[in-house]
Amino acid sequence: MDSVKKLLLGNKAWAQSKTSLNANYFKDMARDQKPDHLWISCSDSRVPSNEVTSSDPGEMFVHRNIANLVVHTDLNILGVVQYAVEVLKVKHIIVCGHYNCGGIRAAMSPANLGVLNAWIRNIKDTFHKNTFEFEKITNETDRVNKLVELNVVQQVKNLSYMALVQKEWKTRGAPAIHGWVYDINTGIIKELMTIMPNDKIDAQYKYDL
Amino acid sequence: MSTMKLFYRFYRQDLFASLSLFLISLPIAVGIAVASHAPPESGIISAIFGAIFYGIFSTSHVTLVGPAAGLCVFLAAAAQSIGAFSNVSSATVLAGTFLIILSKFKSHKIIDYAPQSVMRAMVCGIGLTLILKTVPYLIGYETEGRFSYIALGISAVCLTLAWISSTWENENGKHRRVPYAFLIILLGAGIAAVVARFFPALALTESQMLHLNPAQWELRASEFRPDQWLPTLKLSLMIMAVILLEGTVNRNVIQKFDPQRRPINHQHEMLLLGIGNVFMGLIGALPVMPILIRSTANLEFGSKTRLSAILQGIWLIAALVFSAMFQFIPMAAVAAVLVVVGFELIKFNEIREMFKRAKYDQIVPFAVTLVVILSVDLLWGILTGLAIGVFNSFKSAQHRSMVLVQDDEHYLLKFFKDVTFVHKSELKETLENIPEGKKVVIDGTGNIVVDSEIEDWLLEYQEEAAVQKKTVLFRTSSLAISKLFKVKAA
Repeated sequence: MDSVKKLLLGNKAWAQSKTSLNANYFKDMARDQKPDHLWISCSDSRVPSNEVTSSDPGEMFVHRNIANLVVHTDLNILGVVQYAVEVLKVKHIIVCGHYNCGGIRAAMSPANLGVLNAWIRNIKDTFHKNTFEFEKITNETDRVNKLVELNVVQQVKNLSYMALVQKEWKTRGAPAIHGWVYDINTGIIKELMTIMPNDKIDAQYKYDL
Repeated sequence: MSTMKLFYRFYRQDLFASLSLFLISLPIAVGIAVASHAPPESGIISAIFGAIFYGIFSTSHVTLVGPAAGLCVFLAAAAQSIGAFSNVSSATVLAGTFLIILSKFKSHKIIDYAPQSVMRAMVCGIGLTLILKTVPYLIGYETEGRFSYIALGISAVCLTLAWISSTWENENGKHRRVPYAFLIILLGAGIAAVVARFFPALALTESQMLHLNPAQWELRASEFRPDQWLPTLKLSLMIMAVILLEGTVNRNVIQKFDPQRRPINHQHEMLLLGIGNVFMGLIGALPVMPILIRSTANLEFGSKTRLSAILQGIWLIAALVFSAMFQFIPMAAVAAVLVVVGFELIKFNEIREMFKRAKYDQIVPFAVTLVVILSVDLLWGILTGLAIGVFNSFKSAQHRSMVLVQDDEHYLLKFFKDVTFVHKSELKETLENIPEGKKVVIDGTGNIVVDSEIEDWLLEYQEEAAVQKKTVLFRTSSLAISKLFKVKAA
């Protein structure tokens, strides 16, 4: 059986396992979504968002890209954030990176990746901005993991720099923005930092709302 | 302020609680002894020992230990085969020994494995049997066909009084547990005395009255009868089982009512019960265990510390000393008290709830256990109930364990739960329904454990299926647990 066929059959099996206990499982879910969280993580196949958090369908609005980046000119993520924050009115945005990330690794090497170069350069900018952090770290794995963490912190800040997020803080006092890192060796998520609604943000990025 | 006054101020509540408690414990202890075909003083001795020994050494501040209605039913039955109560006491000693051994293991956890419905049936069965066995005393039954109208009359009055006071109690929250037991006994004694005085021809005979004359104490140390070792062993196991199961349940329930939520050490409690019962058996007294009704009564009377239990024991000693007055108490009145206790064991509210909610997985074990308890005996009843519980959990393990889906020529059988021998029959049926010439993938990957017995069976099936032109493959993945589905290392 080829792998695509396996996916389709696997889907049938999964759907049946849900309805065999609750015949209305899908009907109930289809009505509407009211997730509390916007989850931004890496596209890596080993970090499935619902599984690692033991959460059910309907709990998280998900956006995944290479190295979980929030890029100011990326229409893709802008749309996701706007929908999540303004329409779905999520209470939390979570940026979850993971150790040993391929995109971070690529950013620390001179490899020429073609189209991906422009995307990865965003990470190189963070690397460059924080050179001093890497002076004492010599171990290759530790260096990669350090940049993983710095990258998450930067993306969290990027979210706070968005006018629509600051506006939402003013009107409804949400969402809180969390920076997490998933340790792919242990399966455990570590909290790095949190920006609560209306926390002080760098002055240059504040808007008149 | 003098120390006496301080003492009084602080322990006043316990003092009053102990007095009220004594007033209900005394007739109940005697009643239980009589219902167990034991000498009445053995009940009081058990009550005294239970109150004082456990009052001092137990880690619980609120659990009362003493003779329990739950045990008297088969103590009485055993007397037929084993003989005198002193022989029955040897079973108590054995039971106590077993409990001491069990206390080394976390045996109180067995409660978590016994279905609630079975426990409820056990207590209910005990209550029903108690009532049934007490009926002869209610009517003053002596020999074939002879009974006493007076006894009947006394019982009727006493039971009515009990019923009135219990309904009155329930509405009048504060006055719960007014010592109805004591009043009933007094009333019964009063009627009997009046009848004896003015209608001597109708008076109750001596055997219909309570004997508690110290000069005629029948308390005997335990004597083991080797020729009856099997019934004795069986009885000791039943005593042990009831103390272990009902005792632990009672203790857990009472602890919930402790307003100060003080923690207890279950293993220590079990050890104490073992030691206590060995001693009780040796001197020929009734076995003891934590008792629910009197413990809750203790709390409702305002007990704050263990002193109320200890003081109760002291009042009971005093009663024993002045016990000559007990010969005026008619058995019918004592029987009435017992019947009330029996009714309280049945807990009609809970049973009504269970039936109202139509939870068949509870009702069936309950009903079956109860029927077996009433028709055979307690031990068989509990074993039956437990077997039903285990059977039910098998059935729920089978629930939604696997799914078979198809798409043209391809079939996928996916396991969603651990697959064990209980699933074999479902597995066989599911696979055998797949028509010839199809391709089947069996998916046991993911966080699933497949019993090696099932793995072997699946391999056999693969061979047989090939004959029927069914191709059977096992999906493999590096994350699978079971060998059959694990990716072979490169």
